Amino acid sequence: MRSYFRQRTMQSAISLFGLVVLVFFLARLTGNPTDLLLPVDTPLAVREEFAARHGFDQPMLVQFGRYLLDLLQFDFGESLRDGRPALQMVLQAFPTTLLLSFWAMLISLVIAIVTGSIAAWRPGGVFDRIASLISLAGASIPNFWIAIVGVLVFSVWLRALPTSGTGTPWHWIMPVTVLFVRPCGVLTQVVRSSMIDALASPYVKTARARGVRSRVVIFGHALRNAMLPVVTVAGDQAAGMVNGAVIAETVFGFPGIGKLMIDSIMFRDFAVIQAAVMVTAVAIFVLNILIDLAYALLDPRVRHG
Amino acid sequence: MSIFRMAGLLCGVAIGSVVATSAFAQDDANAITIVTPYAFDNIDACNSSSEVGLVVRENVVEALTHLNPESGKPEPRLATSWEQVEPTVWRIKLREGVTYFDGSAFDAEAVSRSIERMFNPKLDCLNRGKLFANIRLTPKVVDSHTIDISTEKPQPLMPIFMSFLTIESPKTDFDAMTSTPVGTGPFAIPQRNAGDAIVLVRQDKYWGEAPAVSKATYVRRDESALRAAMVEVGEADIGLNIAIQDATNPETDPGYLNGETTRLRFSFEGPLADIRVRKAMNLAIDREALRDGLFNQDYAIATQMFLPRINGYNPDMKPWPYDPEQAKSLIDEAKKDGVDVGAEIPLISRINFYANGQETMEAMIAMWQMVGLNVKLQPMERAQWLKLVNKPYAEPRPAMLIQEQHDNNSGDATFTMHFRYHSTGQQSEFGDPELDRLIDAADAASGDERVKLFQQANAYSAENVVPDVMMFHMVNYMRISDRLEFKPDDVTSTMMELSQIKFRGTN
Amino acid sequence: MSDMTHPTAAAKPPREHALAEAFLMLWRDKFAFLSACFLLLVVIAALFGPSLLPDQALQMNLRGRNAPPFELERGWLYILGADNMGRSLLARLVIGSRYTLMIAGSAVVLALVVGTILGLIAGYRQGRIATIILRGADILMSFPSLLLALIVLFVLAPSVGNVVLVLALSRVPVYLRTCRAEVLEIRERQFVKAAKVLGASHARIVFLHILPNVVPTLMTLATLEFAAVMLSESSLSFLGLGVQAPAVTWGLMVADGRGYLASAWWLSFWPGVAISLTAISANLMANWIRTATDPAQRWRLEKRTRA
Repeated sequence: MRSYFRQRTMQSAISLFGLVVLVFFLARLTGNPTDLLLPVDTPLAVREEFAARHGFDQPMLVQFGRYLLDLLQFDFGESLRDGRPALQMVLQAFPTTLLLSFWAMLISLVIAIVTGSIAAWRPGGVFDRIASLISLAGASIPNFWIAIVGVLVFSVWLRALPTSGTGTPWHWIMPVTVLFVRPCGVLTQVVRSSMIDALASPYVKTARARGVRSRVVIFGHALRNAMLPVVTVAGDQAAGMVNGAVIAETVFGFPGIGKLMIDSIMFRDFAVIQAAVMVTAVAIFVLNILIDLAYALLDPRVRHG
Repeated sequence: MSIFRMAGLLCGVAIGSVVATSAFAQDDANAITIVTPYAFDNIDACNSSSEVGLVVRENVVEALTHLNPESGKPEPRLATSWEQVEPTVWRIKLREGVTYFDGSAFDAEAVSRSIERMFNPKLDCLNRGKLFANIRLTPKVVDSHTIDISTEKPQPLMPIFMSFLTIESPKTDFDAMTSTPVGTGPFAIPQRNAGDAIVLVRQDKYWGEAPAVSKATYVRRDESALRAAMVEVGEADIGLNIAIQDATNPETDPGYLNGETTRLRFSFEGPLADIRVRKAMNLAIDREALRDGLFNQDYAIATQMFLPRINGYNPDMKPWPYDPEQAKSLIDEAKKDGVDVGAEIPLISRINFYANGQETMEAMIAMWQMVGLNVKLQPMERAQWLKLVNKPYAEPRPAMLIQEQHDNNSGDATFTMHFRYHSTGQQSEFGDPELDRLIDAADAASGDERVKLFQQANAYSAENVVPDVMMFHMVNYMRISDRLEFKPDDVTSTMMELSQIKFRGTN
Repeated sequence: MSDMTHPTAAAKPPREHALAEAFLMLWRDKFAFLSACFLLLVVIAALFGPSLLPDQALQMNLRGRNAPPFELERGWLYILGADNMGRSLLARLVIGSRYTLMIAGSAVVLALVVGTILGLIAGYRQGRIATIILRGADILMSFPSLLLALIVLFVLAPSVGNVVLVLALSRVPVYLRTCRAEVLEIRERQFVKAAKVLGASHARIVFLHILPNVVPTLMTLATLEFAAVMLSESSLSFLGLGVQAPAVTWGLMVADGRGYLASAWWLSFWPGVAISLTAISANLMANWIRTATDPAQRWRLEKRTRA
């Protein structure tokens, strides 16, 4: 187990380095922050002065060398927009996103597992039909619809919830809802489909043949078998959220990492983009390790490669 | 299992963060909340000519002069009087008895330091880049409340420039930008963690009349519908930049000219090198139909790139008539002379530029199609678009139209004219000796002579050069809570003085 | 799915007979039947729409901006209302179906194929190759999709092909990881082990024994992804990477209508409904196909009385 972790950490570190290199060079292909940060009318001389002050006039490899040297001293650079340390900005924004995604994923998973399993008990039955329609609709509704219609209905019309912002638990209801609807729809379908397989598998059939009558026990056996794809897809959805619950954060004014990333990309605020990618990548790598561990727990036959 | 332990940890963090933030509440009846789409990344005083000015200008840091929103004329603020003692030197008398929020005294030294700080090459001051890139101001203290500002060339516009010189406290870090600027204004920012909402608090030491607003919080929301909703339910008192379709109630949602003027710029290449084609493109546009269909009557059809309150605006110029027949015959003429009028002309638009921008471009293209011109929309992301706008241009420059928007809030035409219409201008596409002569002469002149020359240049350009398809003077909408009394004007988009906001029924 | 049977082993009935039987089975499942009808309608719209309504979708009428739906005075084309340029929403939906299906379909298929192949390799052959593939997927997963889109926009040019590329690239890891997870489990089952002992080649084991067992889950996922891809296509148009006017997709229509949700909900509602219905139909059809081709489930469609 320990050697597995050591190996995995090494691999992840290498991937992280690869990611940093990719982001550093590819992001710089998308235009110069000088033009974006200064007003359109700025004279050429001022723009050149700005580029020189921030080192954008240097050859790409020199810029990268400097960046790596700074990185070795744990200096992630500063934001071009407000001069704050990039890492500080990212770490300030990250917990918000993490919390939003955590709640959204928890709710999605609970609803999806319960609904999907019941639906799989009798595919084509009434419950399955209704659950399928609702979850499929949920999986295909545009996020910002839920967000803006939610505000119009619950805040403006019913005056039941605050429109936006952070503060009380009430403020979290709409953003979390916006986030969980789609993953919940997708996961319900995945649970349903792999449960149908699992319930028909010899594993469960044997259990039934051995005289296990209790539905709970049968579900338990089948669910364990059906969880592999569910864990994978859930992991992917969670990774997508950590990488930016953009709509929820933007509409509701949640100062999360998705919003920070979008703003930074729009202004080519490279230091912040790089720091944000690194922090989310570490989170995603950890998530993937957890997923692999979950595989092993769910199915002892699966060994770590 | 470790997942569950992590879950428990996160729950703890969740509850903790909720408790921590809910302690923050506002109960002051005269506190207001303003919701904007802006991030206000860097609210240092030397950025006050950008949207940062909305927050800090005249509220936190005051300038030497203040432009009258109607006449565009400079009025005293921190400066009480000014005179041109030599062609290149202005002598300015400063207001006495003014102190900064941090206790330091306002005097000539503070003004001198503030100007030098703006020119400090270690700082990315937007004010320097935007206004003083080619004009070096050299301050010289005469006595405690008199200062001389000299320039290399005679500078008749100094009193207007002075309205952009926001003077921060002498205790401000000279070599670093600050997110808590300190000034002499009626409001102060006692503390701020960068990235948080900005909170302005009324300060008692203010030299002028005390404003009615006691505290103003600026929050950011990106969606117009949400800003409107926040004012509607009472979570905010003023919502800025409400989209035209969300500004449904003329009582609470006033419109105001935002200083921006829109146009399409011609590159003088291919078929667009021919003035008849450029004229035909103007004649083919039904500007009234565009305005009434896509915008509304608050928008003004523009004849030149700045508003009537700017020095040099020519009130006698008429908008292009809508005359597709004449457009067609001009195109035919050009065609006979061998101009390739059938060529596809790209229209470079910028994505999410201004409200209804995309729709306007599509409608204009349809109008050109009706006179037989083949224009194709090519939307671009901001960075791509910027590469095409400024000199040095990449060679060869194709025939194209470029969607542009320009704000001249400075009070004088030179910022617009030189940049766009002079052959050496950074965004100019042509060189016309007569137009160059008029602009150069106007730049050197002052007073009525200057105004007249700029007016001539504008008229000459529109008749003999036709460098663009002029569109509209643009409008912003805001939503105001009914407990406030506030009327936006032409400068509100760059500077919103909280002292002008009153509460209904209290005054 | 049982260990002993897989689709290839099932006896094949004569062709015509099979078609008739398939139709009967479809008819018995009313949901699947309706889905099939709707998908057929969409495909017809995509094939013939642009030639049936060549101008109606582009005809601007600034006086009829945001005309509300269900008013017949403007003609039946305006039954769903008009958009912010006064163009018929119905006509635009019909015209938009072509690019929408083309882009979403190719992106999903591309991601599915690439993801499955890499997933099969990573799952079946552990070791260095698997590690490289998986860590590559990690990198791709952590790469912000907006940045990816911008890079493609700047390095290449905005075109339909590049939209597909961006959409597919960012979705490959899902299929890859799902496929690998399934393979890891199936690989350990008795029948695969038996095949190995009997000396079956790797290709035979992967394509004959493992792949058929992976396909059902991946198909479910792919049909679910269909909606997601149609929607993310719309967010690309914010960058100018999406489809450019005058071409139109449902995603673009949803995006354009976004600012009007409070004042003219129909602008983004109808294209959203079209996306949802297509996604739901595709899913119900996929479920049906799965049931119909699975010998262990097939009875549900054959004997209506028991369901």
